[in-house]
Amino acid sequence: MLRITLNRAVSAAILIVIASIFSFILIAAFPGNVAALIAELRGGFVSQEVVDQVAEEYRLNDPLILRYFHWLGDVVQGQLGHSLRTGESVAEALAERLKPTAVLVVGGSLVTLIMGVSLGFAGALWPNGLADRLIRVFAVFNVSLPKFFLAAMLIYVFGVQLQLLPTFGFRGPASWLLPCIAVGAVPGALLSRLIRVGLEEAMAKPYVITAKAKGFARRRILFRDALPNIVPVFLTAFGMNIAFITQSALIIEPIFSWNGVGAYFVEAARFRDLPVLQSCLLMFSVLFILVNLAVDLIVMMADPLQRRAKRG
Amino acid sequence: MSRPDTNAPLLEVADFSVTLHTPTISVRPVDHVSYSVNAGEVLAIVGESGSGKTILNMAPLDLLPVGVDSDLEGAVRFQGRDLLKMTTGQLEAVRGGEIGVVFQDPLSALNPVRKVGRQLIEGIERHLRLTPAHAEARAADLLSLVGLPDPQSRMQQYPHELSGGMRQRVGVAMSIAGEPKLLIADEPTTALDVTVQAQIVALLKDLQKRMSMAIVIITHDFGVVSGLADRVAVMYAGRLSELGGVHEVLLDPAHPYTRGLLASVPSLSAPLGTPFEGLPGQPPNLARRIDGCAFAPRCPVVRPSCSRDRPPLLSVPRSALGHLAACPVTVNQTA
Amino acid sequence: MIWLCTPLRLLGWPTLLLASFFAFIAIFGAFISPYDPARQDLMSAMQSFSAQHWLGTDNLGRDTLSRLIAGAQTTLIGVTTVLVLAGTAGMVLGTLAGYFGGWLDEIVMRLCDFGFSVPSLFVALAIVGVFGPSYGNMIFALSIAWVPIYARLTRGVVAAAVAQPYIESLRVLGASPARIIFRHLIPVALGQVLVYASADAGLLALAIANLSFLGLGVQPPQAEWGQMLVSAMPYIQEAPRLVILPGLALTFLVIAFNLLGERIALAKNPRPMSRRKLSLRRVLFKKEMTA
Repeated sequence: MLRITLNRAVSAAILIVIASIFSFILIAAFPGNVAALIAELRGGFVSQEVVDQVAEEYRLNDPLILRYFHWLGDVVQGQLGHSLRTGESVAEALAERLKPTAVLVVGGSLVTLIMGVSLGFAGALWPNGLADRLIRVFAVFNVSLPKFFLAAMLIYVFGVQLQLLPTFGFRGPASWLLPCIAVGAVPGALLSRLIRVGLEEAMAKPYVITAKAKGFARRRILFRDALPNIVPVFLTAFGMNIAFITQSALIIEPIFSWNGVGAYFVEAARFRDLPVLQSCLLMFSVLFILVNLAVDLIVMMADPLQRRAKRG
Repeated sequence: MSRPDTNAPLLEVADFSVTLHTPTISVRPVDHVSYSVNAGEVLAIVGESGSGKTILNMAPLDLLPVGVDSDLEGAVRFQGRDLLKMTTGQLEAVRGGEIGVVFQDPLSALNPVRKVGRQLIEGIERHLRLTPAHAEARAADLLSLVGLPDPQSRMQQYPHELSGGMRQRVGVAMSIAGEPKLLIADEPTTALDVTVQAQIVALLKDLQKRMSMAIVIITHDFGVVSGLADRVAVMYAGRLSELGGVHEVLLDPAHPYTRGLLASVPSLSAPLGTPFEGLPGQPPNLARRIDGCAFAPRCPVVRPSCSRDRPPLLSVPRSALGHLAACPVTVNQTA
Repeated sequence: MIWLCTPLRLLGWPTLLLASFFAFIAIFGAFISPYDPARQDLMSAMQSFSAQHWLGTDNLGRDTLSRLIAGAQTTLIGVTTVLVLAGTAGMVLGTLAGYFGGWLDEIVMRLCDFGFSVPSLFVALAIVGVFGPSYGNMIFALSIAWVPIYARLTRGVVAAAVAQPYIESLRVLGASPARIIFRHLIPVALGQVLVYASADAGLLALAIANLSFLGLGVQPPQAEWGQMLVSAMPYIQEAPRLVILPGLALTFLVIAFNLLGERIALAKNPRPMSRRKLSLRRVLFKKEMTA
């Protein structure tokens, strides 16, 4: 098992390298003159010398590979450059904006977990009953619901009409409720469907017939035999959920005017703020690769089929 | 059944029919079948794939696959009680405790993510009501009984860590864990290597004697039949075509289908170059109505009346008592 | 009596209804649209439901119904374009990787792994951020983000097929790689890809709307539901319908896509029939058996 872990770690490392190359190349592929853009944004008179100066400063005339390694060196030291828009240090800005995004991801994951598990099991315990059919309709609807629409509706109902909850800005737990629901509701519906279908498939397997032949009741079979079979799938899905939820942050943060990393990334995209784009992309890529690695390892440990330590 | 006596059959299948409905098709895999099994007796049910032999045995216990709606008609009485009329709770008590089941593919029959020991012990706990320590000891005993060495280690392993033969032994152990009076073995040797097959057959024979169990063994392998069975039932197109003692049916088959089946088994003692004999044609479509005898289209001794009236099971006069065949043409022939 | 699988039976009437509705709009949109979606009429701005404007007008006096129809076309064309581009590129990569194996396979798989670890919106956002917001760039960005799925899918199908004896026998018979690929591998892969694409289309429609919502996709005056919704947010109190209508439209489109995908999956794992269907089936079968 140690060998597999090392294997996965090496794969993850390779992916991180690919991520860095991708982030770098993407920015380097910018059509148009970066130096001119920077010079313009700095204000003041833009002449050829100024442009050349900027080009020197950012080493824009060096061969691509050299630039890549320089950039990599900077990144490893924590030097992520400065925003073209505001001039502030990207690294500092990212650190500041981490908290709102973290709250969103954790809160959203909680909503997803609660919704997914309760609905999924309810649907499996009483198949084809009223609960199950409602869940299915709800799931289809929820999965199709655009997150920004859900957020807009939540804002309208709870913020505008009922005036119950704050909808602007990252302030206190009351303001966390709506954004977290907006982020977690859709993955929650997906998770509930995954759990229900997974349990359904497990219950259709031959060993369930064996369990029936031994004289066990359906509910017991569901929890004793079917449940352990869906744990790996559930863990993998939940791991993927983290990526999904983080992606939602890109959309939900601007709607609720939260100053998180997601909103930062979006603004950077709007204003062609290349250093920020690059750093955010790299940061998120590395984050996701590491999360996937962690989930992979956890799933491997939880699934007896993957453990090859014992001998027959 | 009017009088309760020890000679009453353990299992009595009376005019039993099964109709299955799936979203795409409806079929009748069991069509008015009747037979009985006495305590301690071994009945082999043979037939081709699709003859209904598995459904015949699984349906009364409500062990059909998910997604299939079934209609059951007739009666299947176990120790006098009709299984078809039982509630789910009553059936759950019977399953595992009074009637055990061994399945064809031990790899899929066992839960891959749970330890073997756990799967065995839970059956013991359910039906024998022992303390956990006693149950565990009993499980180890059972594993030794079915011929697995070092039971304690085996119990800690997962199904995929065992060989096919070992898995099937575990399957057999699980089926007798509740000390059932009747064991239903659904093609227990089909998924195994030939040498292992012989071992499993020997195991079943041994267990049967020890525990005075009745066994209904479903198979298409006549070797298994001759090694294990006291009586044989031959199924064709959901109907019983022949029923009788194993000697009678195998050595002097009355029904043309049985004769064809036996003739098609290649023999080691036949001279080299002997051509294979098969049965011409295909089994009929069970989704459609069958008029008359189901075997008529393929039968070498068919008569016009065969396609009109469905032949009942008739006694074969020249043979021992209890030898029945559903063929008016061959039944009265002499040898 | 064997029940035939007509499209209606396969899909069920809600799916068929929704799907045909959207297909109709996509094809005939220009003809049924009452106004030019880009036509501004400031005199009749912010009107609610009325006889002239069934669904009212927006803040620039543009007819909401026409804009919704135009938005449907934009989304459907966008989804189709991306699926075609990503699907084709993905199938090419996947087939080459699956058939030739070796280092080519390794590289393609690694790239796909990377594509999978980072959610599509990030990649798309970054690409649009670099190249500038526009409809074309959005299509380009989404296509790139969506290639890994189809590459991986195709590669899986092709690799599994190649391991089968019949491919080996084709090679022995002297068939050229091109022939094997085009006549035997691609049809199989295409089937899987289409099944997956039908389920994927919903996600893609959402992605287009998301990007447009952020202002990085479809640019005004071209109509798109996400973009319509975000422009209407400031007016949410006075004219909530301007927010609700595009949102509902998008929801129903995605529902239609999802139902399509789900029905196809259902065809593979049939469920027990409803009681009504079952009793009908019983009666019919009995008639067949005793007639």
